[in-house]
Amino acid sequence: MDKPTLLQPAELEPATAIIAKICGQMDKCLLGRESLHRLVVIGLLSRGHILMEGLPGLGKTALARTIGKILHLDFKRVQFTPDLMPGDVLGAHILQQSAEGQREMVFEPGPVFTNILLADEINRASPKTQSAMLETMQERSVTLRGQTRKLPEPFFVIASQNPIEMEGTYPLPEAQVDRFLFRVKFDSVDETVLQRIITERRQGDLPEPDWQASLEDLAYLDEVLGRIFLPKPVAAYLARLVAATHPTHPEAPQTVKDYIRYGASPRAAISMGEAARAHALMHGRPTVGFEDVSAVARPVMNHRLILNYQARFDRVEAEDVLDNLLDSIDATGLELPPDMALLEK
Amino acid sequence: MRPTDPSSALHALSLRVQLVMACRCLLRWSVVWLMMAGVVVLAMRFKGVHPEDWRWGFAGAWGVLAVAAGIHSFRSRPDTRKLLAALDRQNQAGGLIMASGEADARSWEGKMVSLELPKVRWDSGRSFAGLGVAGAFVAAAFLVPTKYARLLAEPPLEISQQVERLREQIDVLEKERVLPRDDADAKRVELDRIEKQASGFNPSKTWEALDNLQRNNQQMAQQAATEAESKAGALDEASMLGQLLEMLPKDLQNQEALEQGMRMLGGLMEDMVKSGALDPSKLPPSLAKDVEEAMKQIAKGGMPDPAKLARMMQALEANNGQLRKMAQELAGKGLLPNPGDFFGKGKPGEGMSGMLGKLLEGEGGELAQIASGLLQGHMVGKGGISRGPGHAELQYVNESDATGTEFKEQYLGLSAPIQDGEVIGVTVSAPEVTGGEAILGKGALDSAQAGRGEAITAPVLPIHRGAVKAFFERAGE
Repeated sequence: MDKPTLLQPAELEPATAIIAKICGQMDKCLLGRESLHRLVVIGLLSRGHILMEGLPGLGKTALARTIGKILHLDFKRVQFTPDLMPGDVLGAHILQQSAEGQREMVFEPGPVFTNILLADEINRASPKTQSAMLETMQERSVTLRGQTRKLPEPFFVIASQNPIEMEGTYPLPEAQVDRFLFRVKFDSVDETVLQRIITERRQGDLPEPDWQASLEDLAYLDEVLGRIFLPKPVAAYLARLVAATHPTHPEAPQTVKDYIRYGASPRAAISMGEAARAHALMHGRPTVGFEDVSAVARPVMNHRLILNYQARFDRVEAEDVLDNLLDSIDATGLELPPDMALLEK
Repeated sequence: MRPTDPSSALHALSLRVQLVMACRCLLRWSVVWLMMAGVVVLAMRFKGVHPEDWRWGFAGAWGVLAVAAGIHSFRSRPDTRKLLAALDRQNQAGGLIMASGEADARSWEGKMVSLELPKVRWDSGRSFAGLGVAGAFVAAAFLVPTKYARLLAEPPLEISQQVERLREQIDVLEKERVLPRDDADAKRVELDRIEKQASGFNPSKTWEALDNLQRNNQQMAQQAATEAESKAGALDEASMLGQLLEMLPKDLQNQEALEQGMRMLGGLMEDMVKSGALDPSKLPPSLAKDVEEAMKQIAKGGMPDPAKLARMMQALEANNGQLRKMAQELAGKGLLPNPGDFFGKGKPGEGMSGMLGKLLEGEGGELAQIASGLLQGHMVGKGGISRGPGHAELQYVNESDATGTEFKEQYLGLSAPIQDGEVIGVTVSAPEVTGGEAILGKGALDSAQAGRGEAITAPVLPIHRGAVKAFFERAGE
């Protein structure tokens, strides 16, 4: 069997340049949080949905709107409220009369029929409405009255949610949370950035991007991303990492055994592999390395670990468990005697 | 110099890892091997074995160990892909080095100009500490003095006195011709073997063997002493008969009895020569000649020349003395546990009195007195409770007169045996006690009220049952 050929540098470099431009435009439009911007770009490259968590006014909506503009994609925003109904998001059939006088049910698409859907404060909607998003996020389609309609390509959901402790919020069900590729936390920017925002952004208006990616660019990125090579040791590391999130797994560290009730799903492993590919592409590499996995492991898995009550008592967050997990699992899987090790950088 | 391509880097890293693994393996195995070698060295020193070429054996065994460690580390070397992964991680190659093993990465070789190998860390402190301990153990094993090691391994058993005593006994038995020379030599060999195998770990075996040898010697000595006693008795008898004949008056009328006595003496002498009690070859030649002539005369029924008869008596005494001396020698070496049982317990007069009585039937008076005096004289100063020629016959002479002597009559009570008693009846209650309160307070009647049957229920403690049972089952009652 012939060996596959890695991407040629000449093939990879344009893609990396496009990504660099996207990131550059985001950094220009949205001050601060450069690493967060790259994470969002990675999510979009991986065709994953992103859940943003943070207090109101931290720029979640601005980020979603900006990415829509830069990617030159259709963007719609839905403000989730407790009385929001599934039809308000997905669309509904409306009785209409034609010019000939015939009446028929005509489908009126909802805001979900777009490329980038900003589901603002998604955890304020009722579980019923939240569940209406499941098919759209996973299948990228909407089924109403027995008819399935594909959503436009590409389709991303960028949802924001308030911290669960706030009043008037419904926790997202695990099945829906699992459909998000990343959960990223929005923290306040530091004073320097805040000062720049005050001085450079009057009324908080976002500047228009001076470069926009085309659909061809996105298609090329998608094609190149598919050719990013995932070596077997990295795949093995991914698998071991996800498996070790389960408390019954023999390789699980003690923190996992102590604080995790349910570990990450296979979907997490798939998502992490895709995100690691995008991370490698962003850094101009034709192959996925361990550092790519480490870079995306936390945002991919932090919302997929279901903590037990002991974790609540001990005020342990999923991120703490993940940090310990990443430290305890040897990436190479090298089985040396206990008193031997390789001293790596 | 750093390798420039993943395959050479992988090869170098693999070699490095295998080398460290081999060293680690060799070190750990060496610890075990040294401990075992230390035990072997200790065992050899305990056994007193000093192999000449132990250094070569040591080096050879360690060489085999090194080869085995090399083979073991080669077989357990890490997976190539994992080593590539380690190499990739070390050089932060982002998967390029890993991919070089699975995909065509020639277009990216420029990114992998100089590859750095990860260092192999080995926490060898404990292993080296173990090696040090094992080495010290081996060195200590070599330094243990063989003498003390053997003392520990085979604590000696001090039996030199017993062996010396047994050796002397065997010498005496051989010297006194109780034990043939070959048998004596076999016993000496056996004694040497026991002495050599004597061990403090199993002293009972040695003691048992020594006791067995001692018992065997004593049995032989006792048998010899018994035979000697028998011979000495015959010699005594013959000697006394000879003395009696020598002392008889020349004008003794009962010539037939005299001839019979002579024939008896002759028969006795021949028996003694045959049995070895009288060995003319051991006598001085002149004495032996006289004895021989006297025996010939006696055999012809004649009275030997008094001088020759006296010489014969002298020979008998000499032989008797030799037998007694042999018995004393055996007793002196502890071969006769009770020396007094021999040469003294016998009754020389018994065997002869019948013969002399028969001889003296037709003669009395002077001859009887001579014989009696002879017998009495034979006993003077030689008797005792457990030795000597025997008790003299009690003679009641000068009896006192009991006329007019009175004794006060005394009633001794019923002395009939209990089994001859007659059962009159059995009471349902305890017998009435008439001995007063003092009796009630004793034994089974302790605290029992008279006439209430309490004595019957008074328990006999288990520890007393044996005594009670034994009392009623006494033999002979």
